[in-house]
Amino acid sequence: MIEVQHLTKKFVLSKKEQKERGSGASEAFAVDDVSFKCEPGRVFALLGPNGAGKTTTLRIIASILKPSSGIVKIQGHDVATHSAQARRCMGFLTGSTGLYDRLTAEESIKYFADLFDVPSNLYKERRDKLFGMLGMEEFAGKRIGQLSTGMKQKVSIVRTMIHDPQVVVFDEPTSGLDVITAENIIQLVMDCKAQGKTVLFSSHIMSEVDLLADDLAIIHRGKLIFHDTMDGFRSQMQSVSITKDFIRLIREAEAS
Amino acid sequence: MRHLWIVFKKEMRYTLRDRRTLMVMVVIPTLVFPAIFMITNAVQKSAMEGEVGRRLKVAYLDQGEDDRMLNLFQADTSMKVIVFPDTSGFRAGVRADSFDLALAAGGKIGHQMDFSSSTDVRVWYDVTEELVFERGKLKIDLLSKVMMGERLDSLKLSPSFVEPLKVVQVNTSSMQETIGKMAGGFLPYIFIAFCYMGCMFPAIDLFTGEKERGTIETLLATPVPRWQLLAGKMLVVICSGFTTAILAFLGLFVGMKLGDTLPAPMMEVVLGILSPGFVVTFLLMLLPLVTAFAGLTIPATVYAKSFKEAQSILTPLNFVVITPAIVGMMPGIELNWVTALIPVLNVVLATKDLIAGTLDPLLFGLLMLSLLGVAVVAVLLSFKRFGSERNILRS
Repeated sequence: MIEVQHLTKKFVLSKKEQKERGSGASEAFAVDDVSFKCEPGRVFALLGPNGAGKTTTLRIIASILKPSSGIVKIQGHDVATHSAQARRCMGFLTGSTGLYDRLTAEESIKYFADLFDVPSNLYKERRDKLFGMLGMEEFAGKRIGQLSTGMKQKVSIVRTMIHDPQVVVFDEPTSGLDVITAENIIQLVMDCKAQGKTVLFSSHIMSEVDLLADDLAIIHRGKLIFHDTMDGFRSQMQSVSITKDFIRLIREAEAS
Repeated sequence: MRHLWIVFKKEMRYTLRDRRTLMVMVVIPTLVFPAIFMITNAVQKSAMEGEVGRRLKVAYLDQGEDDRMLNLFQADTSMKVIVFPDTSGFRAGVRADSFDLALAAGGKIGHQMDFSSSTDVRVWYDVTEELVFERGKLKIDLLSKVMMGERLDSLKLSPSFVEPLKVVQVNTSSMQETIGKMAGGFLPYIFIAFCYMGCMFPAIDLFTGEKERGTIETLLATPVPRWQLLAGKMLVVICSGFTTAILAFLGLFVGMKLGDTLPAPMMEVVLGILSPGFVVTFLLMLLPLVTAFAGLTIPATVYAKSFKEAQSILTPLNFVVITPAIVGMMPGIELNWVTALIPVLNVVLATKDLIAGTLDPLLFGLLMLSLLGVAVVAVLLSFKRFGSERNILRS
């Protein structure tokens, strides 16, 4: 489970940034009093235009960034005070494949398994299962630099899942990927949900959200402007297109 | 600490698979000095052989019959003498390589000369061909000596008459001390430069590279404390700098041996310098120095967004590091209570003394304290930068 309570993140602006913004403020709120809860066995989608604060929120949840105020708990562990325990329960996957090109697929997975303290026998078992499932055996010994984007994405998936996390966070996981490669990710999200894991993903691809999400939150300029179940969102739709309703909500928020 | 070791092992393997780093860390420091020495020696030898064996064309101002200098030059079969009635074409002739040397005495150098005066001998030569000038001057000096003897004989004086005081040099320094003072500054300059280079490239790859590859977020999302991630990576940078410096140093000695540039007795002393005591003291100094270099390069590489940006920050820093090393090579700069506190400079001066065998243990202790202090500050700075959200996720 992920619990986000009154989460705020502000950044101190440099003189150059202050000048660029022209507001004279010395601080900027990337996330402003955001609260939501992601339940096990459900997929939570965090939506928002570019620069809305999605990545900052997810980075705080992954305890890569520290919150300025508010509380984030992963499986009951506060990410600010018990970050190591929180991280152990979580898998984090970003849109960029983010792999070490001079390591082989096998070495990359083993490295992250070791960092997550996965015991050898469990590692072997999970590795065999995931490699078999994704058809990775044929390129397991190849260096990442020699792999195609699709192969790399599979390695990223296994790296994220090798410690069998109960919470999985995806930051725009399909951005920049072709349809076939993106399908691996969509399947992964579905599998995670089926296994009762808590899934949080950010996206701006509405078809994905429509397909995968059980719960939905829309963030704009750091503030949560919508939070409901996907069914709730659908019932409030004023057009036939999710995209159009998403844009409408953003415009309404800007107007207010 | 288990995670630190995991990170270290992975980063070491990753570094050793990088051709660019391997080139800077192993290939260049190992081969550069043997290559330089061997090539220089071969070129020098071939140039010398060619020059000495070459028949020189010498222009000579006609002074009439029985000119002693003309006779002397003509007697040498390695020279072809051409006599000219005046010197008007000498400058142009030498410049156009029509002849190598041109000589004009102020008057005829015969057997009967006025003992109370001396005769000027003008020599036209190309300053870039020093050896040609030396060959001509050798002959003139020889004739001058003979004439001096004749003059003294005619006055019934011994050669000591014109040399009332004779300086006899007695060198109290051992060959090792002499080498230490003469070349001791050059050696540390070399390994300091390589040491810095050895830290720079792995640091860029292991820190800035994480941003460029997009792996930094996934790494920070692991349960490993940040200090262990930093320490694991930093140890690889230190090992790289250390290895590069040692390989450069060994390469230098191998180069001297293979290059055959030093006389045998001097070479024996140079090789004798590599005693266990020297090696231990040298490595002791090197360790905090490399740590300080790693600590200086890492904050820059954590801050930089790309390899190019990291290089543009670290290259000027290279000059800051090298400047004290250059100062240490200057004559008259010695290791004392003040210079022992100045990082890099103190290593250069201490190596000079170490090679000469005159290193003061108290000054060495002070030097170590200074280097350790700088290393600690540099490591803390790295830790601060690596922990800074603004730097680590700057993109």
